[in-house]
Amino acid sequence: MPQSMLASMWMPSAEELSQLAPLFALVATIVALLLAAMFTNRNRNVAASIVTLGAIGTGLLAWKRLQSGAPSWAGFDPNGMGPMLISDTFSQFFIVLACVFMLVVTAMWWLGQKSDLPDSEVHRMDATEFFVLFVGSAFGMSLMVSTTNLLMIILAVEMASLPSYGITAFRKKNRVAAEASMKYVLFGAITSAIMIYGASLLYGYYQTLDLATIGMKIAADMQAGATTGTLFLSVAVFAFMVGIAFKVSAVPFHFWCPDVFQGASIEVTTWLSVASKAAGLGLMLRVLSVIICAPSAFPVEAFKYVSLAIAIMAALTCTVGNLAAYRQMNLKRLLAYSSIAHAGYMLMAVAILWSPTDAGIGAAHPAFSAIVSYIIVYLLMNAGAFFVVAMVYWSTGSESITAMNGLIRRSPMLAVCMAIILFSLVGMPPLGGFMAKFYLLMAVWKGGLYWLVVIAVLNTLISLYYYARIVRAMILTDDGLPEISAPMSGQLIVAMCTIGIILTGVLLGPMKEIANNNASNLYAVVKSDVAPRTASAAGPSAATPNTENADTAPTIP
Amino acid sequence: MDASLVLNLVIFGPLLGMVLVLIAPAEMAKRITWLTSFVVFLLSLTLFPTFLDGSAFDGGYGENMQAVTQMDWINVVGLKIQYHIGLDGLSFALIILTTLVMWLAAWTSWNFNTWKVNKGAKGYFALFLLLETGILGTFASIDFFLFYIFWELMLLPMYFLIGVWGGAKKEYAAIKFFIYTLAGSVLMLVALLAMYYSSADAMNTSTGTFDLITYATNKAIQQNFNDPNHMFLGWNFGKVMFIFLFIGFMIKVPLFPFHTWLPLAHVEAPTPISMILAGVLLKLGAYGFLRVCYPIFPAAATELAFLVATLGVVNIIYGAFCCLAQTDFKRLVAYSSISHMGYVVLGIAVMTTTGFQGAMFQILAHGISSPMCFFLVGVIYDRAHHREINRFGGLWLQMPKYGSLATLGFFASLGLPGLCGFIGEAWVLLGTFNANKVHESMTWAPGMAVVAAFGVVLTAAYILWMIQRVYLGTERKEYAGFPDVTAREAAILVPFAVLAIFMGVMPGYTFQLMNGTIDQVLTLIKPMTAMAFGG
Amino acid sequence: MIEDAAFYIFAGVSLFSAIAVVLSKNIVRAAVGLLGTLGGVACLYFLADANLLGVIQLIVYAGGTLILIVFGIMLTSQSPWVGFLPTKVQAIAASIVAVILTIGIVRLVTLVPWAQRNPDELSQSLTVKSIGDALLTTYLVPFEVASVLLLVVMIGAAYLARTEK
Repeated sequence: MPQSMLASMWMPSAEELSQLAPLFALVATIVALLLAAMFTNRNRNVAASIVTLGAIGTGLLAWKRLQSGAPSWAGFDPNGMGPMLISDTFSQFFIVLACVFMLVVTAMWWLGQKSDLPDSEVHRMDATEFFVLFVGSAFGMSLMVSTTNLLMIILAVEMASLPSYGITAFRKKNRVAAEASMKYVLFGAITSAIMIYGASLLYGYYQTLDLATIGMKIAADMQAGATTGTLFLSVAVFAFMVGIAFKVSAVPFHFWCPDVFQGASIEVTTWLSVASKAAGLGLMLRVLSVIICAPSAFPVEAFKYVSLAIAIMAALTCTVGNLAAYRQMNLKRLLAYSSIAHAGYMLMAVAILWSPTDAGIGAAHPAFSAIVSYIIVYLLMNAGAFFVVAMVYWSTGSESITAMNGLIRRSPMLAVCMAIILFSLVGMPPLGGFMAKFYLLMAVWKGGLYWLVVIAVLNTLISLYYYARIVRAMILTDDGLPEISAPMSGQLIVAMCTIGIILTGVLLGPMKEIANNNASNLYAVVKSDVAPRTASAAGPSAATPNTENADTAPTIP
Repeated sequence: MDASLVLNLVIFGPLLGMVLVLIAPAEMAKRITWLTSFVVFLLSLTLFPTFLDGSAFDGGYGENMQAVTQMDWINVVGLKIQYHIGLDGLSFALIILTTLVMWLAAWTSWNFNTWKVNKGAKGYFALFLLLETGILGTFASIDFFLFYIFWELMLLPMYFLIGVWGGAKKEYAAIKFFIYTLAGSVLMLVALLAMYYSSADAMNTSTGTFDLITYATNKAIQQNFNDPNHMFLGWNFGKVMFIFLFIGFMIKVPLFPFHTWLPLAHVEAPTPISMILAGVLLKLGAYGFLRVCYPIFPAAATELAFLVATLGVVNIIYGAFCCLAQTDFKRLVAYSSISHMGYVVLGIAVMTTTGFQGAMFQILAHGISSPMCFFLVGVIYDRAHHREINRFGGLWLQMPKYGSLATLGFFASLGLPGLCGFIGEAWVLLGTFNANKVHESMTWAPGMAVVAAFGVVLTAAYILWMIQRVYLGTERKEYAGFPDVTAREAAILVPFAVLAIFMGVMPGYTFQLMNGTIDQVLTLIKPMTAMAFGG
Repeated sequence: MIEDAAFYIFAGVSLFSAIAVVLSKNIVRAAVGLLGTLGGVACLYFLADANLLGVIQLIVYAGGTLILIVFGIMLTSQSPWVGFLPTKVQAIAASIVAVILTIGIVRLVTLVPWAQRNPDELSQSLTVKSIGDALLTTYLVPFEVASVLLLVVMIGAAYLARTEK
């Protein structure tokens, strides 16, 4: 085989490449940004237009695939070692979400231009760099949901993280931003290191980078009655999850989050608050779907510990997030803690997914679907909330809670929308936030982690107080601040988010349907993708190395 | 018109009114609200005939619900939630009470622009109507999930109505009300989830049910819910769920020791909102006991009867003593609500026909007398701008019509024979006294009734003392020029007064509305209670 | 036999240099310690027949990154970071975590029946040619993604390093 290597040089076919059109579109956007900067003298409007077009184009390509019901595709697999990239309903769904959110953030950037605050200044001057980093992180996040290969996952996480560090520090003269970015980098580096360590353990033992194959080998091991793997597997999997936990800002990997949210400009904060978390959760689901669901319904001892660890992490995450939010006066910081808390709720369903008990396996499908629902609603809520904060900020230059005082008089539209959004964040029916949380709690309950449900509802109660503080400032307090000159288009976006929140609450059927479809599709992918390889992987025990598969693999650098 | 259509209109009519209020200019808001609530009241009255001819009560519990609308709200894999509403003897009278009190409260809000905080009329009236939808929806819901949604829907408008248009400590009062009630609802949420999945287990289906009637009547579910061996985290499932739900509802009633939000909220809220709070919102807690706790968890209810009855009696006595200590007029009425709601809980706790009837009657009677009392306080507050009982005196002489109506209202609240309060209290006490004959193990019941009867004496004491200080005695100069009740005020007071007398003199008509369903519920739960009492 | 001895020597060198990096109070000495660690690890790669990786380790880390770090230190030696020392509490907490981690990792490594590979096949798969082939076939996608990553990061770095006008 080695002699004829070059002769049998593998090339991806056009058909294979066309499956990845959305990803190519994002890279093309980056290239177009750089080229346009050269020819238009770094014109910021051109840059923003390119990003807008790129996001729309990518979104449409992904939407087309989503709509056409194209069969899931997993490819770039020249030597039968498992696919490098995957394009299926699940990944396309997340790419569409990312594109929608890119448009929201770009709109925010555009509207922010009109204010004469110092950070708008920075964004005006260096729009090209800003957008390159921005689209770069979007590309990374899209990759995160499009792969099940350990190496690709690590690269995708880095692709999402490194540009994020850059845009966090984008306001170079701002000390808070610099400090935030520094913390972000340090935390990111350490958690990445742990993640890579976990990945190398998995690779070292199972001799493959493909998570689906690893899942099959775990199953084979278990069927063969091997138990030595318990400690190893729980440590390796948990270490691997640390990198993702960092992305979703789970406690104790959350310390970067409040500082970064406060230090970064509001566009960046909005972007990170939703996209980074959604991508992290998407990746978690992806990883889970191949490791857990592939070998269906087998009680892997190790996953009990992983599940417990994640459950504890989830409980801590939402409790710490909610308690820390109490004292915050800075709106962005408060919303940062709120986003930590919401990540905690979503992690609860992740804990169910890892749970190897009968109840846990029975609840896997609802849990998948609940997380997807939650992400949809969470996107709407955070986009709306940050947009309101942004408009108040542009008009007053302040991010403090007191800047919201008397908003009901200064801009009734914004105040009413914000109140609805905040109560949805609390989880008050009949708003979308409640429905999403309800699905989540249903799944967790079905999975048998009753104590987590109790913690979640107690947290709902705790969270009420600090969300209500903003409501109080907006509606019950008035110290005569001048009226807000909110741009019409911004108000429109906020109104759309609010209507979306109400609709997801009242017409809960469609959202649940989408979420269910996504969850089912993820299962379908796993089954169709993994089934053919089941036989080969399950044959020889994983302890005996599969040298044929491993021989072309270079050591992980 | 088709009864189910009418019920839907009654529930969502206020929502339409809310939209109108938001669209129309601010000056029109109160007129639209008045008209909407009046039309809703009239509509709800058209539902009467079915309940008067008694045919509504053929068959078992839930078999002959009236004005039913049932359709799927969400029906996906593993989750089925229905839009299922309907009326029976437990809910019908409460619907009428609600539409009436809301209409009169809307009328009370007529002088909105003379209030201290009189900005945002649109917001006030829009929230007012949203609140009405929430309350009516809760009473009519048969699906527990729907019930929960409407239950929570009431919270937000109430929070703002107290928080924006309230008195000096409005923000604290509003958030306290909010947090207490939300604490109750999260417990209810936990019970909701548990009941859903347990019902799925019991029926051996992948999809459970949220249907409150099915919970109570389905044999398999009842077996599962009341099985002493069905454990939940090491505790008896039925008991845990009963307690969760009970706490959720008792906060609303409110029962000691979760009552502290009430005096605050009542005192700080504007008059019409106090009327709604006392007249309708508190009833939701008691209604929750009757609709959710008792028919669904009879075994747990029986085992915990002593505890519940004790809480009821504590409420009666404690509330009455608190009243004696009050110098703020509105606070006194607020505490009297706590005391009166104690009778409701006591009547429910003993699970006898007379007890249930008394409790239901007391719910309605208090729904008439307490808004009336709050309005009476509001009338004098509008004129005197303070509520210090000790600073009043001789008001009857200065405002004779007001004085007469006030005395009638407070006597109704006191439980004077011939007025509505008497019947409810008497039935509850009778039912409690005889409970040991129905349930042999309730040996404590007569004693409980005796202690509770002591509450009647205390009630008489604080009300008479208050009347003496406020309405009797010599005239005071500072109140000399006070005008008597206006036509609007009289128009609001008269319906209350008429109903108080009517219910007191001819209680049969009121009982007729609910007796059938109460019998059905008691028949339904009888086997379970008998079993739980070791029979 | 001699390979075993060499392994322990190089492992020892990298380990002790690493300890020196942590314990040294003088930051220049720490940098020299780092050189020892990186070089030692490179030698371990050579021992394991991973010649290319060893060379890359030397060029990129020992050669490039380390020089950059030393330059960075020398250019900014006035900054307060030179004297940076952890507090006692931090040191104790860090040691505890380190000890636990070490025990855990050692247990992990000794407990797990790691796969043994055939040395002949292994050496063949580790030639420069086979790695190059792998990068353009099996690992083409990661290779391309890495290049996009580098492009984006380079632009970010250039922006952050650029002086303001």
